[in-house]
Amino acid sequence: MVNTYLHDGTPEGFLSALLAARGLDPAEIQLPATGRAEPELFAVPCEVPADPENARSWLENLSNRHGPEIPRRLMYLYYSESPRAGALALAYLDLLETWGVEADQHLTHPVIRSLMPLCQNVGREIHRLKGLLRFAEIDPPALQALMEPDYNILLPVAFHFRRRLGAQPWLMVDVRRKRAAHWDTRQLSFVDVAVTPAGRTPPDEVARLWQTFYRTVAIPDRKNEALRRQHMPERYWKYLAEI
Amino acid sequence: MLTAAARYDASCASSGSQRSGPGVGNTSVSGICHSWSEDGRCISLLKILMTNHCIFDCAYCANRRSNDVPRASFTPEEVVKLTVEFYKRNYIEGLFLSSGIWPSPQETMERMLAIVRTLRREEKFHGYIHLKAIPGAPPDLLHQAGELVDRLSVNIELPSEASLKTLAPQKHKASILAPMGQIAQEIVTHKEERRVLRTAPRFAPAGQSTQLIIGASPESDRQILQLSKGLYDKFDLKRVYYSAYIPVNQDARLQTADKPDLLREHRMYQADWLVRLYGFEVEQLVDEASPQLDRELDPKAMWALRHPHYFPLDVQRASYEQLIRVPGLGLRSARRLVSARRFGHLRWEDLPRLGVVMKRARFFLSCTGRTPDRVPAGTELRQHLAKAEKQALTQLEFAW
Repeated sequence: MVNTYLHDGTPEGFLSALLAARGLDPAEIQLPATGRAEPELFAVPCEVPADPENARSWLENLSNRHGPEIPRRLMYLYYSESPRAGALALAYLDLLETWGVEADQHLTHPVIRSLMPLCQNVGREIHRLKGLLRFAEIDPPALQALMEPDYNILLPVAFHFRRRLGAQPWLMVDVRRKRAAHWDTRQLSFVDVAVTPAGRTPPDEVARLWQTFYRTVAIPDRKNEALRRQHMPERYWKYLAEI
Repeated sequence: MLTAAARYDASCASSGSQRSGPGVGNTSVSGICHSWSEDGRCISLLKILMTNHCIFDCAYCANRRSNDVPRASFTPEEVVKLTVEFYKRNYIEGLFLSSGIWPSPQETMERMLAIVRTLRREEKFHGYIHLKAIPGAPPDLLHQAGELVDRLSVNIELPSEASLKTLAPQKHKASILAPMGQIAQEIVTHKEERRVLRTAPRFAPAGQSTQLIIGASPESDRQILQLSKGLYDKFDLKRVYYSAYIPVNQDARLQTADKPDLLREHRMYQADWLVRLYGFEVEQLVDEASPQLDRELDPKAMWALRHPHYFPLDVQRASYEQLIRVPGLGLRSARRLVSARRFGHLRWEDLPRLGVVMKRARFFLSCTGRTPDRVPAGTELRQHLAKAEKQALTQLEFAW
């Protein structure tokens, strides 16, 4: 029988559910967010309330014991929204108990073999969006960026831009998940948005200059469409000011 | 127009530096690509020429003095504004500023320096800046530039002094190598100073690079690779970029070409990586008898074909240094292999999961003491490898 631990969909909620399910057989556990649970015959879902403080001190503890890679990996599993994320995280934590961080090297182990590519994909998309996210000026004077990422990566992307563009206010919207990150130059907050902006903002003068730059910087004799698409898959083009 | 003129500079790296502070922006150690243009090359920096006016008359260059092309210049304010506005919208990771030489090397360098200084001091811009050092500019200007930017580069362009003399008569080996030597020296001394005093300024923390044009002059692949190796060793360059010559001028002094030889450029990069990161000697890839890289097969496969006694390697026992010489194994897959085998014997079916390209590697490895049923040798092996290579190149859209 599968044990279902429901959480509220926040990172703290996911971590709290992990803590609650620690020690049980990962093969019989699922940790969906409330409302995303697969109906399970005879299963008794258990709702785990988010406990941010406990979750945070646990991550700190894990980081001290095994290094900062481990909390990051758990967060990547959370961002992945994979139905297997919870079970994988629990199995991984068990491996850590046995092997310590050495577990990461055990690349032929079924758990590591599933976990690493998933984390790599999440990491790749975070890195991609750090480059491909486009801000446009909106009224009142602020910057706005729209995205539709495969994974739920608004949080790490927002952290990146808090460091990079900390001097001005901005708004970042995950159109698909209807979530937004708002930075007011002092505080970063995450909110649900009912209505998301339709399509991209019409180009202003700066955007037109950028379009010109983009066209001219390509060397006509070296045109290579396949290579462009390989690096920059078309699903990211929708919000690019240059295309 | 000044972008079209700058697009032949191959470098767009934005990595290797860590910079931040109050104001606008920071740099990322790993570098970030922001877009890819129609030619499939990554765009991470606003790559422009300050001006395409030039007193030099280099045969290969579209902006040479004797060419009748429209001329234009940016004002410093325009460059600064464009950089900051593009950066704020996350179009770019920073600025790559180069320039034609006008009216003199010193004045050109001073003007470029003024732009960089405004960006750093007045706009408090902490993004990435790559500055092209102008051959013949005085050392103190170079010194000031190094303390403000992330990367400095001096383009060699032509791989021998003889070619420089014919094709770029105003450039001399000395006027190129002197600034490279100075940059290398200052990077070292600044690092030492910072070890004593944390607040001492950095000098071009992302290092220096250069670019060589392939195919405009008659040098062999071997000569060019030896030159690169020398540059890596002597000046500790981060990268040497190779640029297949694109005919922009009609000139009897140039080698003739209708199209840029992208395949040769690709092979040069492959060989460069093998020498820089895989522990190969230049002479192991190209020697006096065959000074050109093979076009049909990549240099690592060619080496493997010439050294059949080196193989097969046992995946369980071969060292990392041995494994990275196997065609189809890269630095990462070799590292993974070495990690994973500590936990037990690897099986054939484990290898592709670790990132090994079996189409090539299976001819050179043995697993639990066994090789695949039949391993071809000689010409037959070459044909197998050539088939795999052709598929890979077609994916990269190389014309055959």
